[in-house]
Formats: sequence, C-alpha cells, structure tokens
Amino acid sequence: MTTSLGSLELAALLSVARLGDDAYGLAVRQDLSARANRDYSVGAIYTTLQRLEDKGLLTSRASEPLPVRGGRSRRHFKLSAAGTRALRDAERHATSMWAGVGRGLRPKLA
Amino acid sequence: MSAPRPPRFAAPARSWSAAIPPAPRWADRLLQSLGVQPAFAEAILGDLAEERVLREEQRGRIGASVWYASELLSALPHLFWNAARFGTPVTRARLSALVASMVLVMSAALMAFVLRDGPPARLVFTHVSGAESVDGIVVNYMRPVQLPTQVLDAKGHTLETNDVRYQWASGAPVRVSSTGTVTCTTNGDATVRASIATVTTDLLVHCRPVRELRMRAWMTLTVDDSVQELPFIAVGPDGRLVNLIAGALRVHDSSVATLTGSRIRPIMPGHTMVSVHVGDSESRMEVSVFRWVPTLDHLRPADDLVIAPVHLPRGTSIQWVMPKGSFWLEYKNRGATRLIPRMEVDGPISCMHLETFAPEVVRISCITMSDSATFRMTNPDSFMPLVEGSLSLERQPIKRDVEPRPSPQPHPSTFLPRER
Repeated sequence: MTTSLGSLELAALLSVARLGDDAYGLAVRQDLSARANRDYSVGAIYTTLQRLEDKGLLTSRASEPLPVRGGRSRRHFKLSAAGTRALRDAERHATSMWAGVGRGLRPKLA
Repeated sequence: MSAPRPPRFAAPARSWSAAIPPAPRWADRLLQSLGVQPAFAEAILGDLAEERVLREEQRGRIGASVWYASELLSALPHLFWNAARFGTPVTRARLSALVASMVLVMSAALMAFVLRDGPPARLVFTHVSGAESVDGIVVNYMRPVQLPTQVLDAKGHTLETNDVRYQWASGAPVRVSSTGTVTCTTNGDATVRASIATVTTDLLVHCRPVRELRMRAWMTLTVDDSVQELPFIAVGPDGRLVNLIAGALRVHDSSVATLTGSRIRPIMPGHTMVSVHVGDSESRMEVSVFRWVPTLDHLRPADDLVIAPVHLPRGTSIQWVMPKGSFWLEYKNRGATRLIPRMEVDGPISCMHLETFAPEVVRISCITMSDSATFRMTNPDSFMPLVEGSLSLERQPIKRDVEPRPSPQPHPSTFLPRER
C-alpha cells in the first residue's frame, strides 16, 4: 500500500533521510530552506514532521536538555521502515512519471 | 508532601547557560494557554531559542528578538491546529474562546478604525425639522435660543459641537454669544460666523420673533376635501403679521387627519386636535371631519358626523327626519352671502341657536325624544332665486362602540421656513 505524500512532506522525509542522526526541527528547516531557497516557518516544519510521525513514516525521540536551547531538549526524527518504503515508492513513482520525457527536459541533479 | 510542579514548558534552571537566554516566559504562557502538546511546544521553543542565538550573533539582540516574535506569531496557526487536534475538551473549549475573542477584538478594532471620527470638515445648520438649512436659519423665538449647529467630519460623522465659536459678522444688530446663543428682539437679518478648528462658515440668521399664534378654535373638513392649509397666523411683538416662520405641528389622532408640512388632510369622520408651535408660541385647534351624505333622513347609528348638500330654488323647501338624541346642526352658505334660508322644526324636538362669529353660518343645538321629529329649510318666494349651502349634523356624544377604532396615534409634522 502506498502512502500519499504532499510536496512538503516528501521534502521533509528526504531531509530527515539526508540528515540522519542530526535530523531535528531546526536542522530540517535550514536544510529545506537552503534547498528550496525560501523560508519555512518553524510551525510549518513541525506540523509536517508531526503529521509524518502520525502516519508512521517517522519516529522521534527527545535528547537531553541542551544549554544552547535554553535548557530544552531536541526532538530528533528518524525514518521508520514505512517511511523508507514511502520514499522508495515516491522515487519509483517519480521515475515512472518522468519516463519517456526527453533528456532535454529532465532535471539536472546537483 | 510532594514538591511543587514546575510549569510544563519551563526549562530546568540547572541547564541554562549564562550566555543563552531562556525563551521568554510569555511564549511559554502563550503556548500553555493554547493547550499545545508539551513535546511539540518544547521542540518549537527549543528550536527558536537555538536559532535566536545564531541570529543575535549575526543581526544583534533587537533583530533577533523581532525575528523570534514574528516567527512565533507565524507559528500560531500551526499551534492552534495542534491544540485543536490533540488538546483535551477543556483545551479545545479554551482555544475556541480564545479564537472567538481574537475575532471579536479584531472586528471591533476594524470597526473602530473604519468608523473613527476625523477632524471637523463641515458646519451644518438645521431647521426645526432637522433638514439642512440652505438659505439661513429662521428664528421665531423671543427668548435667547441656541443655533442648531452640527459639526461633521469628512465622512459625515457627527462630532461634538462644544468647541464651535460664534460671532456676529454683519447685518441687523442681533445679540450672539460666543457659544451660539442668539437673541432676536426685532425683525432683521444678520450674518453670524461659526468656527471650529480650521472650518469657518457664515450663517444667515432671519430674526422674526413671534409673540403670538392666532388660530381658529375649530375647523370643519369633509372626507372628500383635498389637502388644506391650516388657518393660523403669527404676530410679532410689534403687533404686525410675521410672514417668515418655521415650526412644528402635531395632529393628535392620525386616523382622523394627517399633516404634510403645515397642510392637513382629512382621513375619516371624527374629531381631533391640531397643535402648532412656532418659536415660543403654541396654539391649538379642534378639527372635525364629516362625511358627505345625500340626505339627513334615516341616518345609521354610525353616522355621527355627516353633512348634506342644500340646494333650494326660490319657493321650495326641504325636510329631514332627525335622529333620536342630542346633536348639533350647522348650516353654512356656499360663498359669502349672508342671507340664510328659513329653518323650522316640528314634532318632539327642542332646539337652541348658538352664537357664531360668521354671519353666513348658523349653529343650532337640538335634542329629540323620538325619531319622528323633522327639520325643514325653506327658500321663501320673496327671498333669493337660489339658496345653496350645506347642513352638517354632529351627534352628541359620538358613539364609538358602533365601529371601534384603534387608539389615537399622534402624527407630528414640521414645516420649513416660508412666507405665509
């Protein structure tokens, strides 16, 4: 069964996958902002991450309280097995959609 | 005894670095009051605090604080959604109340902004009727009276008039106080200057003091009559007629007659009172409205106020059977002729002439014991070729129980200044 993902959800999942152990709200936000060249609000990022967690695509754990966060802990996110499957499905779907499109139109990945 | 619980979102003091300020307490309280999930709030506030430190290094403390506040505000919709989704029923109720309050406050602020008063833009002077004066104000009072001024802003909102200042500018020597009280002792026109802030307007004041209103004690109309001017005159302190007047009128029972300006329109048979106010003076007049009938014979019980035409060629007479009870008869010649036809009664009837001040009018009070009494009018051979007029009958008292009417409704009216 495939889970339908919004564009921000897919981007957040990819960011978590990319960041690995360092995937927490601020890092995901900075990563997405840098790649999309736009500012995402903290609320938007956390709402998306929480939705992904509700869907079972992410898991989260709280770190120890950190001085740099005014004594608050970080919430680290990690891809679940379902999240990994969802990313693969999304890639397969994208590849399938791009199939047959001329080379000139294909995006050049960095 | 258990130790007091720290606030849900308060960070442990032991972990704070001297260089890293905790999130402002108001942010904690805001999220707490919204009912946001503690873990969700902790993560958001932690991220904000962490990024704030970075921004302080780059943009300074003030820039970082501004960013922090704006970021928290932009997160509000997401926080609302989180609270609505994961909050307890109490939290949701509190959230609903908060949202409703915010909507109310914003609506009120928007309304206040839209409806706010601007600076004075126009001075308007009104007549007794409330209509805006174009050709000036008519003052018929003999006592000092306040000029009816309105201060409007550019949007037409009415502002306070306390700060308007007045002064006599030219014309008749009318006494004008700085607060706008004018005293008219003689006839004359004066220009009064009114000012507030940067607005200055000249007003023409027509002083026409009225000492007395003279009006007939009663007026008789018929239902079919067209609209008529009320017969009254205004007299000044010098005893002369005042032609330019403005005032207010009131008919006490609008089911009998109504007013349009200073004109009266009969509606249905009955009696009513009309009062007229001009300046300090007041006068009243009783108005009776009759219904035309072809004959006064065999009147119905509801025919309290009826009037019949009289048409008598020379040498003829007309006779009617009168109703049982008390009534008044009034004969009035058509035109100004003073010659009155002969009048006689027959049967169980007793009548008495009443004094009238009009020679062409005869008024009689009668009482009959049965419905066999007759009233006859004759144009003798030696008299006029043709007698024409009308005879009205008014029963006493009027039987209201025959056709019940609603309680009287007063009908006010005003009339603009005009020459009479």
